[in-house]
Amino acid sequence: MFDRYLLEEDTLLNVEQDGAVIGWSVGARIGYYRGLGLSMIDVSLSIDGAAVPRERIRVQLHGKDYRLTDLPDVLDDRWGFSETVTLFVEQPGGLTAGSHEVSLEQSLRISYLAIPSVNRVSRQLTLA
Amino acid sequence: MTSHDIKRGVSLYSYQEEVFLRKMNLEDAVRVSAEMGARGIEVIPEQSFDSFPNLSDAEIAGWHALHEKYGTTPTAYDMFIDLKRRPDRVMTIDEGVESIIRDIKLANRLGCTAMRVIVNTPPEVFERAAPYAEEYNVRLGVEIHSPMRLDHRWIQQFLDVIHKVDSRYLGIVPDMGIFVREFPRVVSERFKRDGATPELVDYIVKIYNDHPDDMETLSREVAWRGGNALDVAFANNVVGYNYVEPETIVPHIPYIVHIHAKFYEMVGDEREYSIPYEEVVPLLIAGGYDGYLSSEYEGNRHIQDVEPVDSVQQVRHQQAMLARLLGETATEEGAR
Repeated sequence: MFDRYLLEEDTLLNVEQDGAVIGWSVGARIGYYRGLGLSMIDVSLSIDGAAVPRERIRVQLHGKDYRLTDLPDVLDDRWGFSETVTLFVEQPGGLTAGSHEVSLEQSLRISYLAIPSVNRVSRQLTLA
Repeated sequence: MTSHDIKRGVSLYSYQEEVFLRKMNLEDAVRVSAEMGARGIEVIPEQSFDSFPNLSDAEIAGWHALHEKYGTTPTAYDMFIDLKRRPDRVMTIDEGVESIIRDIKLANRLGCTAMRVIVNTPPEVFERAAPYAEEYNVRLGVEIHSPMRLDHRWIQQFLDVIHKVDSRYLGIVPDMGIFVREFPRVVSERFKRDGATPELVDYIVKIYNDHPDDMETLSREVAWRGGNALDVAFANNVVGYNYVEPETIVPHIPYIVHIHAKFYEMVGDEREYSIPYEEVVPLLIAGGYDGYLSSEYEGNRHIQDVEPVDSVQQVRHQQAMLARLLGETATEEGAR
C-alpha cells in the first residue's frame, strides 16, 4: 500500500569507517499500515540490477545493528510505522558517485494473511 | 427521527497516508477529527506509537492530554495477534492469551473501552480473554470484515462463544465493508491504470454488482477470456469484497461493541460510492445501537498514483453524511 514510498530520497550514502569506505546504505520505510516485529520481516536489495548477497546486508535501527540473516530470531524489536530504518550493505569501496538504481523487496509475514505480503520498489537515487 | 445514542468518531487508520508521509502527526489527526465533530478517536497503537508495546508513562500522559485539549474521547483499540511471529511455528493458545492480555492492559492505560479483535484470533483466545476484558473494562469485539460475513462458519465460532459466555464484554465489531453493493471504482480504475484490460475489468465489476453467489470461479473465467496477470489479480481482489443485505445486521445489533464505518470514496457529502449508509444507519438507529460509527477511510492506496491523497477531506465528507443520517441539526457543533 506504500510501495512507492519505501526508499527515501537523499538517503543513499557511502559509509566510512576508520577512513575507509566499508559499504553503502539506504533509508527504508515499512510498507504496511502498522509497525511489525523484526522476526516477521525479510528484505532483499539490488543495486544497478545486481542482487546483493543476503549475508552482506545489515538492518540498523534503535542503535542496534542486526545481520539480515539473524532477523527471524529477533523477537524483542520492531520496525515502527513512522521509522526510517537503515539498510547497510557491506561493500568495500562503496558506490561510485552519481545515480544508482536501487531495488528493494520487502516481505512481511502478516499473521492474518495466508502468504507473506511482498512490497517492491525500484528507484534511481543519487549518492549523497 | 427516532432519538438515539449513536456517536460519531474516526479511526486514525483513516489518515495513514498523511501520517506515513509525515505530513500529519498524532495531534493533527485528533484535532482535525474534533473539528468535524467526530469526538471518538479509535487508535491502532502499532501505527501511532513506534514504542509499541512499551509505551512510556509520558506517552500515555501525552495521549490523554491531547484528548483533554480537543474534547475527544479514546474509543476502540485495534489489536493484532502475531500468530506467525516465529518462523518455525504458530503461537500456542497460551501465548495468544498472553498477547491479548498485553493489549487489554494497554487499552486500559490508553483509556479505550472497546477493542477490535482481529479475525485471525483463535476463538479459544477470545473466550479466555473475557475475564480480563471485564477486569480492565475493555469490551472485546471480533471484527466482521469482508470477505468474512456474519453467517460465515469461521465467524459462527465467535458468535457461539459470545452467546455461551453471555457477557457484555464480548461482542462484534462489524466493518461496513460487508455492505459493498457497488464495486469501488477507485479500485477498478487503479487496476486499469496498472495494466489490467479495461473491458475485462468492466466485465468483472458488472458481475460483482449483480452479487452472484458463484464468484469463486471469477479468476478462471477471466483467464479463459484471455485475461493477463493483472486481470486475474483483479478478479482475485474482487472476491475479497462483500455484499450482504443491510437487514442482516439487525439480529446482531445487541452484540455490537463498535462499528468501522469503512469507506473508499465519498461522492461529496451525499453518499459513499459503494456502501448504502442511507439504508444502514436507519437500521442501526431502529435497532438501538448506542456506540460509535468510526470513520475508516481506505481509498488512499487506490489513488495515490494519480492524485495527492486528501484523507482529511474524505473523512470530512463522510462525517457530514453521517451527521445528516443521524439527524444532527445544522446548528449543532460539527455538523454542516
